[in-house]
Formats: sequence, C-alpha cells, structure tokens
Amino acid sequence: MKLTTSFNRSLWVFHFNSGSCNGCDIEIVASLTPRYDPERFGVKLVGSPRHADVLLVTGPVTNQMVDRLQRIYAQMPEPKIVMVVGTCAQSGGVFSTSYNLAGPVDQIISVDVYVPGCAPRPEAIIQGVVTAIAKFERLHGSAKQ
Amino acid sequence: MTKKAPYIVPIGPIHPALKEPVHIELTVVGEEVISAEFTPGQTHRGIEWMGLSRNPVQIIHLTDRICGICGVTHSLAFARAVEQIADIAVPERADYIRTIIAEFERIQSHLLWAGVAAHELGFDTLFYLTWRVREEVMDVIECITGNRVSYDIIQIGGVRRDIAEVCTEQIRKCLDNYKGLFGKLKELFLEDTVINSRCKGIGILSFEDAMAYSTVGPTARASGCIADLRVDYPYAAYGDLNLKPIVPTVYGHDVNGDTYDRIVVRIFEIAQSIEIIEECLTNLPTGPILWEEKVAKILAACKKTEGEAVGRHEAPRGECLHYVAMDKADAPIAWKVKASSYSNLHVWPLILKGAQLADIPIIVASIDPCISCTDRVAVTDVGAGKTKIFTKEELTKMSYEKTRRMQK
Amino acid sequence: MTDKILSPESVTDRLTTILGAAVISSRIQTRAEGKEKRENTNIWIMIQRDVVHTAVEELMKIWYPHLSCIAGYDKGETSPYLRVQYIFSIYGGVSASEYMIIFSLDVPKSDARLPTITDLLEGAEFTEREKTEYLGITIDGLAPATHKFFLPQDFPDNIYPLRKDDKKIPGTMVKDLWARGRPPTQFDGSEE
Repeated sequence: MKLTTSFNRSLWVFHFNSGSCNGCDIEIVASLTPRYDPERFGVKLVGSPRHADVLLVTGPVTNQMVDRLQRIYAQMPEPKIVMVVGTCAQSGGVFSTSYNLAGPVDQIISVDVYVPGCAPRPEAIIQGVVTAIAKFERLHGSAKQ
Repeated sequence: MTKKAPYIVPIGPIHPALKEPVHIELTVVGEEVISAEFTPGQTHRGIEWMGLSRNPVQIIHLTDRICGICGVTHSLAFARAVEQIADIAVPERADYIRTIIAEFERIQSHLLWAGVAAHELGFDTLFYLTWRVREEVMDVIECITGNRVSYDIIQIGGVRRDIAEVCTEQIRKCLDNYKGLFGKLKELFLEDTVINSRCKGIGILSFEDAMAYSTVGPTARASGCIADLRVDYPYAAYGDLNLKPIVPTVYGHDVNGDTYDRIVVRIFEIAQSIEIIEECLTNLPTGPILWEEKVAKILAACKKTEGEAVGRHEAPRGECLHYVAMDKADAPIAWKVKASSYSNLHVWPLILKGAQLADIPIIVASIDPCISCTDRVAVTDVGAGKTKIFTKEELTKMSYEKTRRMQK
Repeated sequence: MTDKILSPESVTDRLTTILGAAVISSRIQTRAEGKEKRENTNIWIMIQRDVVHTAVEELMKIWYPHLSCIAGYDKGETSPYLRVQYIFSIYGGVSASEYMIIFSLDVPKSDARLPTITDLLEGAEFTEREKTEYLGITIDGLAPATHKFFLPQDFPDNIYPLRKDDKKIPGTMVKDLWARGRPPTQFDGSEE
C-alpha cells in the first residue's frame, strides 16, 4: 500500500456504541493509547459524525438504536466507510436470541469493513482501519478515471 | 425579569456497558444543578431472559459478556452460585487462580478508571500515561487467559486454564514494575494541585446516604462504609489472606465522601491488589484446576440438582451478586444479575445536587460507571422554549476550561 | 440495634420467634472455599407475603442491613405464583462475619402486589421498580413511575420479560440475528 492523496486528509473515526458490552469500546480506546498510537498517522476519534470519514460501530443494535444509527450514518459526509468491530455487531454473537435487538449492523446500514473477535485485539482494529484506507484509495482511484 | 427559569439538561441517553444504561436529566439554574433524575435501560438486551433458555456452561460465556470491563466478575459470581446448588467442590488451586485473575482485573479496571477520570478533568497527559501503564497488566491477563477482555477463564467447578511457568515470571515482573510506579501514581493523582481543587468537596455522598442507598465498593468505602466482601464474606482464596478494607483514612485524612476520596480508595486498592496477587502466587497450591474436565459431566451434575443459591464477588466497582435457582432441568428457572453499578447509580441524584455543570463529568465518573454516558446533552431553556444541544465534547470542554481557570 | 454479633442460629431464631406462624421454613447454608476453608453463611427464610415489611423492620433492629437487591422469578407457566427474594446482608464491615439473609415469599399472580420498604431503606426504590417492570408486581406506597427505569421507554405494556405465562415475551419479538445475516465469509484481500 502506498500513500496517495486520499491520505492527505487523515482518517477521522466516529465511534458509535449500539448496545455492546463495552469490551470492544475499551479496546478501541486502548488502540489509541501510546503503545499503538495511530494518532501519529492522524487517525483519531472525533466527537461528531459530521467530521468523520469512518463510522465505527460496536454492539448488536438494540431496537432503540436503529433510528440513531441511521441518522448518524446520514449525517456523515461522502465518501464514508462503515466498519463494524466485534462479533455481536456482525451476527449477534452471544446476544443473538435476545428480544430487543434489531441488528446485526449490516441489516441496517451497508458495511465495508468487518473486524471479528470478541473482543478484537487493538492490532485487529488498526488492521481494520488500514483496510478502510485501502478502500478509500480504491474509491479515490475510480473517481479519478 | 424572570429569565432565571430552571433549565432541564438531559445527559445520555446511554452507556450500555453496564446492564443498566443510563440517561440523566438535570434541572439547572445558571451553572448549579438543583435536582437530578435518571433513567437507565435504553440498550436493554434481556440477558437474564436469554439465560433462562441456556445451560449453565453456556451462561458462563454469556456472563463474561455482560460487561467488557468486568470479564471475570459476573462469571465468578454465577459459577459460585451454581457450585453451591450442585454442591461442587472447587479445587484449591482454582480458588487461587480465580483470586489472582480477579485482582488483575481490579488493577486494570482501576487504572482504566483513573485514566478516564484524568481525561474528564482535562488532564490528557495523565490519561495517556495511565493507559500506557495499563497495557502491561493487559499483557499479563492475556498471558494467563489468552484474551485481553472477556477472559472466559471461569468454568463451573474451577478455571479453564492453569497459570503456566512462563506467566509466573511475567506476573512477577509486572508486579515489581507496578510497585515502582505506585509512588509516582500516588503523587500524580493525589498531590496534583488541580486534581485537589477540582475533586475535594464536590460530589459528596454522606455516610448515612451511602448506607441507606446500599452502595457498594469504592463508592461506599470512600464514604466511610467499611464494607468489602473480600474481608467480610470470605470466598475463593480471600479467606486465607489477611486483608483490611481500604478507606480514605489510609492517606491520612478524614473521610469526606467526596470525589477525591474515591480516587484515594481506588489508587490504594491497586497497591492492595498487587500484595494480594503476590501472596497468592507464593502460596499457590498444586493440584487440579477443575472439579471435572468433561463439560458433559458438569452439565449432567447441574441437570440433576435443584435448589437456589446466591454467588457474590467483590468486583472492582463493588458487590456483584447472582441469584440462581435450578430445578432438575438444563436451564436454570431463575437467574438474577445484580451488577455492582446497580447499587451505585441511584446515588447520582444525591451527589449531583448542588454541583456545577462543569463538574458533572468528574462527579458522574467518580462512582465508576461506564463513562460515555454523557454522549449527548441538551439544555432546554424552559422560559424561552429554546433548546441548545451540548455534546459530550462541549461538556468536557467546559470541564477543561474550568481546570484552566483554576491553574491561573 | 445490638452491637453484639449474633450467631446465624440466633439470628434465625430471633426472626422466626418474632414472625411466628408467618415463617414457613428456614435454613442455614454455609460454604467454605480456599485453603483454610473459612465459612460464609447464608440464611434463607421463607415467609408469608403479609409480613415482609415487619421482617425487614425486625432485621433492622439487629443490624443496619445492606440490601443487595430484590430478585424474583415466575414459578412456571401453570403456577399461580411468583417467587420474590429480598436479599440482605448484615454485619458488613465486620471481618469474616457477614451473613446473607434472604427472605423468600410467594406472590399470587392474580394479586401481584407488595408493600414498599422505601420507608425503611430509601435505596430500595430502584430495585422495587425493577420488579414492577420485569414481573408486573405493583409496589404499594410507591408513587407511579413517570418513565421506565430498566426497560426501553417504548417497550410494550402488559409484557413482562421474566414472566412465563401469557404475559411473557412473545416469539415475534425475538429476531434471531444469527439467522438473519452474517458477514460474507470470503475475504477479498484488497488491503495488499
């Protein structure tokens, strides 16, 4: 992978917790801390979806979060990438038989990158972000042609 | 002019980490909170209900995922309840391994909390520092259990993994390292002028309220309730240790029950946990780690029994309790989970009363719920009917600005 | 409140004497773990529903109790009763002498009501409201809730998650996420 102009603007990530157990959320914060330090590449968490390039979703999406998830997704500027972190965001995991779930995430919004694991290691999450960068480059490339 | 209408500030909606996600509504006049009300329950997943159609070994994996921070708390409490019903004797070595991993969890949870508290105060350098230090204990946890969060190490009748020789070495190295760091941690958190002035005397929970509201863990101990299950109600290897509950007086000052005292208790509990692990490691008995290795046999034993029991564990945040009733079937007929924060969240209205808006993040954080509760905050001007939305960022920014003002 | 630590037997005796015929059964359960096998004690007392307030009052005369929570379950689809447990502990803060005291009682589904104990222990409100939402038990003496505390605000009325009879969770509410869709198994390896 080589750096292209799409990297001029570093990836900003908005984190959305749709009802997870917090394990993934902690690992997401852990992957921002000095040991891994993706901030040196400009990858950081932002507080508003309007500033974000990547929507990072954890959790199996409870009924109450469906509308919020869709609204947050709509607020993000194009081009955007959705990344789901954790098993329960992908298939419900241990919560799959619950009565209050509407997920998984890809049934509600379209998903580009899946990071499986319960909970995934910080390295896996960073790998997911790198995959997102690759996808941005492809989008960028096809836009140029 | 009646422009001083009370404002309603809803904070929330949720933080799903706990079993009881929360939304707080504050009524404020100017900067001061005059009353607070809260609503948990927005990301309800019906975990107890799901448990009623699963067998105990399956539930163990579900309990690990009730909360991502308390990876061992819920499974330990649940396993202890089932073991009492089925009369399963846990091998001594397993009791010790359970204690060791539970104490490591306390260290990582308290460090995580300390980092977040520093972040809420606008002291991000300290936040990054504590989280860097925390990675070391995560490595040890990974070495012992194979996973960084959601350890899945507890099994009905013991533990699923032994502590290997290579881990023992790593554990000792990590503990020695932490002992060296403890002085620095104490200095940074307890002697810093800004932390002192931001945390002393705010978010006070009186001893009487702490008792009447049945609070647990560091929140209760910071208010002077010397209740600690590890001491009062011996279980696992805690009965073999000579422990004393940590109350704010360890730092040589009176009990005030404020946010500062809660920091004191947690910082000193890290040191206590280090001692407990060292003692357990030295006295680690030999022998099996499981009552029965074959899962089918464990399940058969559970299926044969009937009765009810409670399993308790002193989690990093306080007492965690599981009530289980079995009736000669695969699945339990009743399962009630009482997470630690369940007993602590309902003091928010008390400790937030009279606080300043900028102090809300640290007060809310001080009882150690999961922090991102303050996701979205809306301020409604009742008189004018206007709504201003505060994001968590803005609220945190207000908190930072207050810190800056104090530094001047 | 007495300062002397009573033995589990005398705590049980004291409560059974005062409550008299309202006590249906009682048992003391102990469990020992670790190398030294120091025991911890749980006292289970089955009582009539009417005396629950008195029982808590009497318990408070022994020691200021810690209320862990009120647990409850439905005894079965055909059973006319709900079972409720008031889970207390006393002598907290005294090294190795804390007991759990658990009052169990049956509540008929046809008249699912319990008195509040918030006049004795303020903090009980939270867990009492939970019983209303999960099991449909009306708590007498507690102001009606303005909103739900545990379940989502838009959760249907007259459905209680922990009930097993006709008020239980209908099958239509359960969407099996595992069956609904899973991520594609093939990874396209595009990051190279």
